[in-house]
Amino acid sequence: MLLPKRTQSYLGLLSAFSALLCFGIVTHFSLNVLPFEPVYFSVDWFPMGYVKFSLLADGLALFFALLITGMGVLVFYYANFFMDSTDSKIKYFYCYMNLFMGAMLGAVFSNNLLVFFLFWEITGVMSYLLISYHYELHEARVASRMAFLITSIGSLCLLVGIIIVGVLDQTLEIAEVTQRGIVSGEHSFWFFAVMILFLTGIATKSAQYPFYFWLPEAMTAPTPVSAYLHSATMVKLGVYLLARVYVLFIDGSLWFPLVTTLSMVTVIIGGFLALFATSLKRILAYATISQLGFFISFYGMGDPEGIQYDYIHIFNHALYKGSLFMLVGILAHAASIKEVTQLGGIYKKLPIFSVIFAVSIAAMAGVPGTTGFLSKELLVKDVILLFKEEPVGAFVVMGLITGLLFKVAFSFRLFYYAFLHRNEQHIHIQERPNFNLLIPPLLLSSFALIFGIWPGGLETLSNIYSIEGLHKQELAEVALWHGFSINLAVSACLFAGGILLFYGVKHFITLHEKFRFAQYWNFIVDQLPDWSGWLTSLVHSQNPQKNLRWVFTFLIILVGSTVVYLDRSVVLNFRFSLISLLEVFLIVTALMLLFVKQPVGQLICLSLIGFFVTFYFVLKEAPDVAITQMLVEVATLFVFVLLLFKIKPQRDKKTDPIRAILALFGGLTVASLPFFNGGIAEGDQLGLFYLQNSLSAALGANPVNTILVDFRGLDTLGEISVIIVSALSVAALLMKRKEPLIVHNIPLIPTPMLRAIMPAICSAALVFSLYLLVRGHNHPGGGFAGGMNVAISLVLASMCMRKSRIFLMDRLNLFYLMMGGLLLALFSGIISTIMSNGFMNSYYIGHISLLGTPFLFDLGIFVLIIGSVTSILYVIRENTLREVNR
Amino acid sequence: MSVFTFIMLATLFGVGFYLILGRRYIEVLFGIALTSNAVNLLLIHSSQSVEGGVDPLPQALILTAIVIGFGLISFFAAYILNRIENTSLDLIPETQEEEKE
Repeated sequence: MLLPKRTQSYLGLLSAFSALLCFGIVTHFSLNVLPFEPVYFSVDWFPMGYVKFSLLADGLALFFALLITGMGVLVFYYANFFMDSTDSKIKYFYCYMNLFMGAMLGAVFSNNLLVFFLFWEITGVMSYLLISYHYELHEARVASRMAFLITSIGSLCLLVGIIIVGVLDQTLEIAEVTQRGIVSGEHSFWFFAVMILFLTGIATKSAQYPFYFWLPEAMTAPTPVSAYLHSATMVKLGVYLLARVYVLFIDGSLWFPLVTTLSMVTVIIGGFLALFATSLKRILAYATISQLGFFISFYGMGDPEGIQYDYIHIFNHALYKGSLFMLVGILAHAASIKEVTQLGGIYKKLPIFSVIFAVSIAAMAGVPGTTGFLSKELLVKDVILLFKEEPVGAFVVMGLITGLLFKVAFSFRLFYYAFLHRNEQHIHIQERPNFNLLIPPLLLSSFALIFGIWPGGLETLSNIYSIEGLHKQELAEVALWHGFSINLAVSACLFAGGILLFYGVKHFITLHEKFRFAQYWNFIVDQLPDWSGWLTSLVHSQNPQKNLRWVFTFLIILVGSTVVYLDRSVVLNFRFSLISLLEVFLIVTALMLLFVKQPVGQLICLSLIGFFVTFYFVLKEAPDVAITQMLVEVATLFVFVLLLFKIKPQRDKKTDPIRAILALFGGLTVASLPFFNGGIAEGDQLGLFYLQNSLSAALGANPVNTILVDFRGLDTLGEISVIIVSALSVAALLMKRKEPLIVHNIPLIPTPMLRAIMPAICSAALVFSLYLLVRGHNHPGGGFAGGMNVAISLVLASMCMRKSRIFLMDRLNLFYLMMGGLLLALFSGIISTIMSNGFMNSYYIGHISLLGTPFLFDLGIFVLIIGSVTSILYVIRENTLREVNR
Repeated sequence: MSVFTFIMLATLFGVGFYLILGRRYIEVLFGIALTSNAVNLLLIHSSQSVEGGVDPLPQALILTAIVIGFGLISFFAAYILNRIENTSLDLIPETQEEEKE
């Protein structure tokens, strides 16, 4: 996205305008639609997962929307003059901010928990991107990482909680869930789990103890971000969720103690740290944390009939905290003031600024005449009520009182340094603040004053947006003057106490450094790569052979334990037959393989085993397999012999007991598997099916072949593709130049006699192969065996004869040969698709097996095997005998 | 199942695994060849006589397994030849550093 520089400087106004539009719509909605009914909207999204894209506009949603859009207008306006519009990153800033506003609106209006979660996550991502807006600064990167990690942990917990709710209640619609409650009942484990998971999500998002420490660090973000995301809206999303699901948990016995304890600890820690922090933005961040604690506790201690006045507290907080953040941002720009102690005498230099500052501080402290006072009066009233009614609430009362004391103290601290403190340092105003920058805080603090003097406005606000279930049904009453009562006395005491507290601790300003948990978190996060590296090095090795040991260990543990514990369906017997003799031979040869150390000796043993296996197949009445095994054995021997030409044998003198143990137990484990073919009864029937239908359905008397080319033709197609892949990989690994795959002769065995009879042998082999191919359908043989036979004889011939005269070998490109085979096989499939309505559904002309697609398919296999195997053998021969060749 | 069959399978697999776990390329290759033979023998044991002949399904499975086994062995042989291009040494390097040397 390329924007001209001039446009960039209007982006903020443009965004403010769009926010204003939203604000207008929300206001219209509140005044004209809301007083009658909540509005629902729903579209199916993933019905099987209970996910509908459903929206709900009720009082709670509209109140938060009003807050989001209203603050949005002011923050965008402020940002337009605050942010450096010549910065090339500015467009991303507005992009993220607008996305954030949209996601917040989506979150508060969604009526489906998963849709809500989606928007919730987007706000988290935007927060991450905005905190790291100055990503060239190390601290911005660290802070954004911390915020993202912590909120993500919470989000994951919330997601799990949402899924549990979905499974239990069979719905994710918030309106339905809150009506039904958690169906498993309030004493069940699931109720408790959901409560904890939701609370974790809320606590991370709304910076509650013990997750609060990311919020002060997030103050490295540009000031509009701090004012908007990290005080006015995003951190309140947790509060919003709590208000939404409040009715779900209110009956739980642990709810009250858990929520109030956490939130009270947060209130006290936040207030305490705000009193000792020195950086202005940090003071405000800690104040926000403390205030969020208040909000959360409000829902924790609310009685089941409902609560009241929560909107007034939230509204009040948005008014003064937004204003204060913007003012602090102006100070940082105009006079480079970032610490509270540098404030002294600022009122002489910036008078208008100072008036707004003083009003905002007054609203924070709760001075009569501001909304803060009303908010505090209501809180004090609640506290007194709680104290009278519930003795259990003593802890909460203490917490709230302490929190309010701290609040007065840190508010007064700001006031003290700005207006009473004499600063020795000279304040230097580099640049008079643009008046446009002062408009948003001016508006906010005026609202704080107007509503402070006219409580009826707040009352209306509170009543318009109250919703059923959450709020008390009786109308809220807010008044400026209640007469001389205990409430007033408590308020006055709080004021006096707060100011005294400030004077008492004025000199301990460095104390809060010890309480920065962020540094411990960062230490842990920085250590994580080392720890995981250490853990990896324990189990993982760069040597594949070492890793293989783990594979074998798990094979033995998993399969072996099953073998030991399962019932065996097959019993051992000592019957001795011809096959047993062969088995003894195999055992002896295999053991010889173990003790012969020379590769040549090992090769001889291996070949012996191969040919014994061939006999084994013969005795097991598997002639097709025996033929193929024999031919493949020859080809394998060929490859091994060639390999031994090239490789320099080395002795491995290391004795390795682990290797032997793994091999021993691995062998025993795998050999025990046949004990469990108890399920073979079904397999018998399957085999019987092929035996009986081979001739009638596939026109072939050899069921092994008909399975390959007819019944399971598609599988075979896959298998011959594997052979092609193997042949091409061999060529790719070993061929240096881009040369055609044509067999050249190397007269390695230039015996005159062999050379003389080779053409005859080759011709005989070819005829025999064709014979194998043609008879395959009814008798042992087939494309695989025939193809192997041709390939072996061709390569052998090329090694005996000086000049190639064998058929077309000197001109035939093997690549085309194998591809031709594959195409032929595919072609047979296509014919059958057309003629008998299904891929590989065999088709015959006049019920003759040789005129059917299965034979065409077998022919394809034949050609493909010739091409691939010849290519493999030839390429390996070229590579190993290159020196001999030259 | 006959005791001899059990011992044979255990021996073939055991020796095959032992070779596969070795430090020499050629050993590993021999181990793979031996193990694929052993697997085929294991499979043929599920081929029992049914009415009218021998169960053809395991045989069809083994037949393709043999050919694919050859494809695997030749691929691994080509891989070895590619690895030992310059040194012709038969030892699998323990680490990447050792491989570079």
